[in-house]
Amino acid sequence: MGASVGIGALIMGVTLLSVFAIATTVISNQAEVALEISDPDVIDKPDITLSNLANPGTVLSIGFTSGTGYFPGGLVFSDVCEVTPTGSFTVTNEQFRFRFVDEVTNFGVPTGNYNDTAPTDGDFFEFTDLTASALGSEELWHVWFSVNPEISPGVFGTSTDGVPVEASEPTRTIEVNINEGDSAEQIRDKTISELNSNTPPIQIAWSTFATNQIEGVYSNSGPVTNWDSGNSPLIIEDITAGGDIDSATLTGPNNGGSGCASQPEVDACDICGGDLNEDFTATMEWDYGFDITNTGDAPIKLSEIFTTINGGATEVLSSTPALTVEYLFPGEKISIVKDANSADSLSRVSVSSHGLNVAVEV
Amino acid sequence: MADGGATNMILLITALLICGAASAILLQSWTETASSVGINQKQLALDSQTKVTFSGDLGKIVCDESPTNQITIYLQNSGSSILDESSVGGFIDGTASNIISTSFLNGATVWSSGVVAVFTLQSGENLLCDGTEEKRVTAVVSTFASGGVFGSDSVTEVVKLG
Repeated sequence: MGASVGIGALIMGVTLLSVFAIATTVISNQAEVALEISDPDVIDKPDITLSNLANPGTVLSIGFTSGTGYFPGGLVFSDVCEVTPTGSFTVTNEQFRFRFVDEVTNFGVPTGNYNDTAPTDGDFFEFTDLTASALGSEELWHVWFSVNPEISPGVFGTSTDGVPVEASEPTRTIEVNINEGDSAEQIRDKTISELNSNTPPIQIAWSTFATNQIEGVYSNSGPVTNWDSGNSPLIIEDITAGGDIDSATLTGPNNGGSGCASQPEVDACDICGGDLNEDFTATMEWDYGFDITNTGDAPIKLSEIFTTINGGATEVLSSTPALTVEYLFPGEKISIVKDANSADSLSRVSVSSHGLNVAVEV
Repeated sequence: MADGGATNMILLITALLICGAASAILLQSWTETASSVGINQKQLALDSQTKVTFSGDLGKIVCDESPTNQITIYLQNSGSSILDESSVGGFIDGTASNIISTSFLNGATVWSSGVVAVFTLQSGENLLCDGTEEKRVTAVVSTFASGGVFGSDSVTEVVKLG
């Protein structure tokens, strides 16, 4: 009987000890969890300030939409850049084609365009040369025809035509000696020969076109005026205007410049003339800059800071050149330069990290 | 006397049986209780290690109103547990939204601590992405299973669709 009581007490004792052990473990775990909950193993919201937003721009290229009557030259940029961009533009070269009138026929037989109607001044026409691609470089030239009174000179003498009074500048007057009855093609070739052999050379490349036309292409670009067919039987077939802006580029020494606070205005240079209808546009690319300061009391891992520019895609914090430290310690400030080369200027920067979301707008 | 001895023996054996049964029941119930408490403790412990926060620009959320009515949210793992990007719930103004794409920033492949995941949510309603509409966006995340439990957390922010 005593043994049975002892066994029963042993069972109850072991049971109670087991229950106490379990209870102790549960209480211990609960205390541990309570500690974890009161001090959770998560990353606290950091404290960051965002300041000194900068938005330096560079001119990437120059566009243009119009502009007539200009001489080529430099571009003028408004003063909004630390290093002012430099550039230039070019314009078209004037070119023209003319011909002599169709040959006059006498009962179906060509008699040529000219005859010697002495005494008279010779027939003439005028054109303007461009000695340079610049304002004030035009020179007026006179070409006049002295007509021999026969198809085969020497029998009835040579031309008695006089220099036309309009050819008032002897140094820029060219005489073309032709024969009465020359065809338009013969007159064309003789005219080109005289034009090409002139000294000093005229800044126009002369060539034939079709069977009876002369084409002149100016070597220098820019607008040309004062074409005049005079009293000669010339017909202007075609004129392609010079001075139309056909390109605009950034050039040295500064090219696109740097540190532009805004998109600069672009105009043609003052000495480039023109019809004041040019429309240059600077295409910009922008870089972004801002400062981040850790105003909290714990280091912040830089790879856990994320930035959003202008509401675009969010990306991990980066700078140019690359950041060389891993943490931003309390009180430290880093300057972020994003070599974005973006077409958009900076309007808003947002920085986020572990529940912190700060943004600054320009 | 002999009858009294037998009776006492029966009573003692009965008492032993009852004592053993009571002990077994007590141990079993405490074991179950301890197990239950243990699971709850694991749950609480894992929850305390689970935290998600919004990243990105809350004032200018990436938004595509036509034709998809989608917004892009960035969620950062601010806890110490690895989160399961495939078990994220997204809500726009309290209405569940479909998550149509998921990715990580900065080359991460696992949603570990500090990593930002990108989620594209598709709203069932028409969105106005002109910088004027404000929406309450909620995200619910959970960890991978650990010891049979999942840690979870949620975050809610008012964002402006830009």
